[in-house]
Order: sequence, then structure tokens, then C-alpha cells
Amino acid sequence: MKKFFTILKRETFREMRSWKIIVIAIVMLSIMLVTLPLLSYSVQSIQPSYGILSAPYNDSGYIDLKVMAIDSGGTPVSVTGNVTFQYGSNGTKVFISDFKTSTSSPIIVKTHIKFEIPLNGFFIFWISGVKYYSEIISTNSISISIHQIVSPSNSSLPGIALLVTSYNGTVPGNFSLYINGTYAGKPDSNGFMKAFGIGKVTFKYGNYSQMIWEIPKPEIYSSLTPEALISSFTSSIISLFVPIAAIIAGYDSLAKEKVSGALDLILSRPVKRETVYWGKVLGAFLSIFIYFVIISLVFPFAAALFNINVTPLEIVSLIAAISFLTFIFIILEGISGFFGKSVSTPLVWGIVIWIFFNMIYSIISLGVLYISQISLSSLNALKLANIIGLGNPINIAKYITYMGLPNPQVLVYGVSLLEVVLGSIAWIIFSVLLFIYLSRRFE
Amino acid sequence: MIQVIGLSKTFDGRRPVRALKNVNFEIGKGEVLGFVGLNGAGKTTTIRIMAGVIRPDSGQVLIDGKDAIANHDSVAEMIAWVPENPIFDPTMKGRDFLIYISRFNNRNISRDKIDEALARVGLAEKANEKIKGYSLGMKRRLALAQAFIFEPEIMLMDEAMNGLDPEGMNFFRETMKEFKKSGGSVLLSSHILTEISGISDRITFIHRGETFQTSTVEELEDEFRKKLGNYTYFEVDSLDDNELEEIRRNFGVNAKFDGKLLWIKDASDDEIGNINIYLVKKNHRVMQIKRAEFNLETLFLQKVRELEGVKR
Repeated sequence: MKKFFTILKRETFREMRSWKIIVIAIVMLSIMLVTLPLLSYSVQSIQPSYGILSAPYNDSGYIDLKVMAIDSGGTPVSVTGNVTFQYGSNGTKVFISDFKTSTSSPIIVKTHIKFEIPLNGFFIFWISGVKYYSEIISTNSISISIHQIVSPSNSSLPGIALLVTSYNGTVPGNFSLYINGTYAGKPDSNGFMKAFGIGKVTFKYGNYSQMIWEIPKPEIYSSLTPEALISSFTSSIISLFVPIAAIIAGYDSLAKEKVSGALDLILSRPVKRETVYWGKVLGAFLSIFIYFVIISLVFPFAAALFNINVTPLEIVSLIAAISFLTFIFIILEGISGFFGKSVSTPLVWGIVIWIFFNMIYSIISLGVLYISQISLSSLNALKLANIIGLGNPINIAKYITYMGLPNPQVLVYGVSLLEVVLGSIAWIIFSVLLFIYLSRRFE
Repeated sequence: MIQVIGLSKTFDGRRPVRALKNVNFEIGKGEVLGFVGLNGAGKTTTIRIMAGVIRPDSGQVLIDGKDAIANHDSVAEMIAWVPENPIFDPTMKGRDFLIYISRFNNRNISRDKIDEALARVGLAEKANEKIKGYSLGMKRRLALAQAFIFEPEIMLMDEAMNGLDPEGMNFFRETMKEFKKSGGSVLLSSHILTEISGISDRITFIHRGETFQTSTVEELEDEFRKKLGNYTYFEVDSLDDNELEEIRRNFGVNAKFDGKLLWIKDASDDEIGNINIYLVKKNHRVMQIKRAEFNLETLFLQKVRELEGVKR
């Protein structure tokens, strides 16, 4: 162990003194800081003045419903409930459940919900299993009305199921569903609207009709939440810079020394070659880790100056992603030292793997999507692309970063935390085994 | 006692290279074994295997009967290796490098011993300078210093005299003598064959990955006298078969041509003079005429030609 720590200590401090690593760390931090004002502007523009819907990507997300209704005697009553969106192979369903009213009298509620659907055509809407309403929808939008008589009871109801099918009966299960102006967090001027807004809500009783709430179409239309935008930004930055730093550290520490023969004198001493190799790999890892963890800790403080909130969980996710990326790319670069013929070979190899995972892999993913004949605008395509991404350590690092979000599915639809963890472990095991195998095969 | 038994090694790659086929030799205590072969014959690969830097495909290296490859962790302490091209981290200082590498020994090595080794190789004044500023000769001295600090029982010297100035060569020679006197064993590979024959007790020849002879220097001198001692050779630009036949016929001598040298056996001075006149008349350039004296290089090249099946 003494020999291992001798190497570990030396490699850590040597790489920390490397001007190349310092330059990369400074450039990355500078880009993050310089971009903060722009990021801040973008985040502000998607603050919930109009609200941005993230729920469509959430299999079990719900929005509290509290609207004003009137009873049969014309007395306003309050109604609360949950709206749940479910997306699956049977289509997209909207459940309004757990209704509670403040009156025992029957009430009639008519809501006017505006959906934005990136499909044109003729759709049939099934409410609670009954074909209820249909109309030809216009480009990218559809308006439907849901009529539901709520039982005169305070108890929970099964709720309303809204199933969207196409005219010929097939389920357009892959469409992206955006609800205009979904809003959370602020009561309206009457104080009745609490954490619910789906475009228009209209109540009708006999000839009495009142549109009680309408939120105009947001100017910025995006599936990104502010948190998702920040996470997306930081993950993109680290996926560009961290692999470069890791490749350089892996090259300087192990690959170059192995190819040039600088390691040979140490290997001739009474020490296991595995001790030498892993001491160098982990030393290089620690040097990058220390620099980039410092950046990960500095960034939230700088972001706070621009009113951007980065949560501790997001920082932890970011550090985990940096650690993963650093480890994998140091190992991949280290491997090149085992079969390189000249000192430039491992460097060329490092550049090739960086280009492959940062650029070419995405092109291959698109090719797979094309071959699979899935519409590229569909959610299934997004899901498939994200699953294919598990084969790319850079994508996995991004997913790890997203896992710090309150709702990661906004950015990694179709990939669960468990799959990300398993993908990371698979990559670590694969690269370590490959490293061990090649180190023995090619010495 | 070091025994190298049946070493073989092939380097994988797009075009696999069979570096060693069958290498065998022994080195006794207090003995210097010269290791002679052409470039690419397998000298460095053999030494790297003995140093534990690479592993053989088959064969054994036994040190006092103990498998040095399987027990590298313990046996390597007895061995010091001076590589052909010592590569160091150029950002390190000479002294720092020795301190660093000393930590890979199982026994502690004091700073005094490191300073002593630096002084011994004449690097004391440059010890605190970065290695990137060292000349090739200084790097070789540093490689020697790292070998000394381990106080080894076995030294593996791979072209260790390359790049040394005359003073360095002398220092090297004296050091080897001292080491030998103290019971140390040395494997000495060098292309400076006159140096090898001067320092070594025995010499092992290697060609195309196979050792084919190990003899004492005295045995080699005898062999040389028997094979080449009564020969005179002409270094000529070319000679065709007709001309060779004409020389044999006209001068009644046993003559052979190996592509570069025309060898004449048992020729008198007059005959040598007449052959020279004949060659000049035939418009050949005669670069030199020499009576064969013991020369390890000549003997070795002769052996290589024999192995390659080249008829003189």
C-alpha cells in the first residue's frame, strides 16, 4: 500500500500542477460564469408568469385542482382534486380524481381545456370510457370541453378519464401533450385558484356561464423548467471539458509514460504492475476531481448572484457526473498506452474517443432511430434515443446530472434512475475489465 | 546464480513480432556475461524480461533457483537494470527522481545513499536540476546512479556504455570490476564489442531470438585463430564469380568472397601483393587489406553469416 500511495500522491500533485489541466479548468469555469447572465435571463423568461408544463413527461405527476364552482342553488362552492397525466402504450389519459366539494348539492362543471398537440387530424375523446366528444382539430392545437356531473358528496370519486384516440380508432400514444399555461404556485386575484391552471376553466349552470380563469398562451413554449435549463447547461459544459481534461491527465500520467518507456524503471522494481497502473489512474482521477469539484462548488454561489438557484442535490449530481466522466475517460485513455507504438498514438486515440462520444455517437443514434422508423418528433423516439444514450458515457453523465432535478423526466424521458445507475455501473465494470485485460495482453 | 531457460516472446499487434524463440544462458556470482547480437536479435527483450518489465510467453528466469518472474515482488530487489534508453519524467530533478524510485524498494534507502550514488556518477552538482536539462550522457549516469542505490546483486546493463565519454567509459569499466569483485553478477549488452570482450568473462551470442553459443573469451580467441587466424581479407567494392575463379586459378590460393570481403587463406606477402595488383587492374576499389587478428566483431559476424547460410 505504501508504494501505491507513493504513486497516487505523486500523480495527483503532478497533474494538479499541469498547466494543461489548470487551463481547462479555468476556461470551463470562465465559460460557466460568463454565461450566467444569459442563463439568468433565460431562466427568468421561463419563470411561471405563464407557467411551463413539465407534467407531460411525468408518468405520475399531478397538479392540485382547486376551482370555484356553483351548486344547484347558484351558491359558489369550492372544488378540489388532482389532475394526473398518464402516458403509455394505450394513449394519453388525463385523470381528474379525488374530487372534493364543499357542498352536498349536485354541481355541473364544464371546463374548457386547451391542449397543444403537434398532430393534425380528427380525434375522438373518450371520457370515462364513453365516447363523448370529437372535433376536427387545427394545427398544433385542440380545444375540447369536458362535462362532468360531480356527485353531491364530499367523498372521493373515481374521476374523469380522458382518452385521446384518432378517428380510425388507433391511439396516438406518442404525441407530446402540452397544456397551455399550466401554472403552479399562485392564487388568482380571487384567491380561489390554487396551483391549477389549464388554459380556460368555465362553469355552467343552466343559462349561467362564467369563464372563471384563462391563462394566455405562453410566449416561450418549452418543455424546459428553469431547473432543467440550468442542469442542461452545466451537463453540456462538463461533457465537453471534463473528458478533455481526463484524456490529458490519462495521457500524461499513464499512456505517454507507458509508450515512451518512462514507466519501465518503476516496473522493474519490486512492485506489482497493477499497483503502478492503478496508482497512476487514481492519481490522475483525483487531480481532475479536486479541480472540478471546486468548480462545482463555486458555480452555485456565482449563480446565486444572478438569482439562479442550484440545489444541493443538483450539486451532488453534478459531482457524481464529473467523477463518472473523469474515471471512464482516464481509463479509456490509459488503455491506449498498452498498444500505442509512439507517444503520439495515445493522444490521437484520445481525440478520436472524444469526437466519437461527443459527436459521432449522436449521429449513430439518429441512424438507429431512422432505421427503426419511429417518428423523430414522437415521445417514443425521444425514449429510444435516451435509452441508446446509455451506451455513451457522456450521455450517462448528462443523465446523472439531470437526476438532481425535481422532475428528471423532463430531460431524460423514458430512462429511470435505476437504469442510469445500472448504465454507469456497466460502463465502469466494462472499462475496468477492458483495462485489466489489455494491460495483461499488451503489457 | 542466474539461469535463463528457454525464453520466448512474441509481441502482439497487427503484425506480430517473434522477438525471442529460445534464449538460454547462465551467469554465475562474480561473473560478467557479455551479450552479443545484431540490432533486433532479442538482447533488449531478454533483459526487459529479466528486469520484470515484460513477461515471456514461455521459459523461466531463475535467481538462486527462485522463479524471478513469478516472484517479481521479492526477487526484483536483487536486480538493478540500466536500460538502453533511460526515459525519465523531464519535469523531475535528478535527486528527486532517485528519492521517488527508491520508495519502490522493499528496504528503505537513505538520502545519504542517494547523494553518495549521485556523487559516484559525477552528478552531485546537477542533482537539483531538472532532468530535461540533462545531456544523454548525464541521463545515462543518472540511470547508473539509480542502479547503485539499490545495492543489487545482479546488474542488467543494456547498452549502458552508449553516450558515455571516455572518462565515463573508464568509470563504467572500473565500476563493473568492483561490482564483480564484490560477488555481483552482470549481464552486459553492448554494440561496442571490443569493450565487451575486455570486460566480460564469458560471452553469449544471440541471433534472431535464439542464443546459439556461450563461451569464455579465451575459447573465442582460440576459435578465432582456428577459423580466421591465417586469413587475409581484402575489402573490395565487388567481385564476380569469374574473377573469383580467376584468382583461385592464377594464384593457386583458397579464396572466398562474402559480398564485402575477399578472404584469402594461407597467402604469402607476394601473393597478397599480386592479388592486389590484379584487383586494381580489374578496376576494383580496394579499401583495405588486413591480416585477421582476434576481433570479436569479426568472429561474431562470421558466425552470423554461417547461421544465415552465407558462403564465403
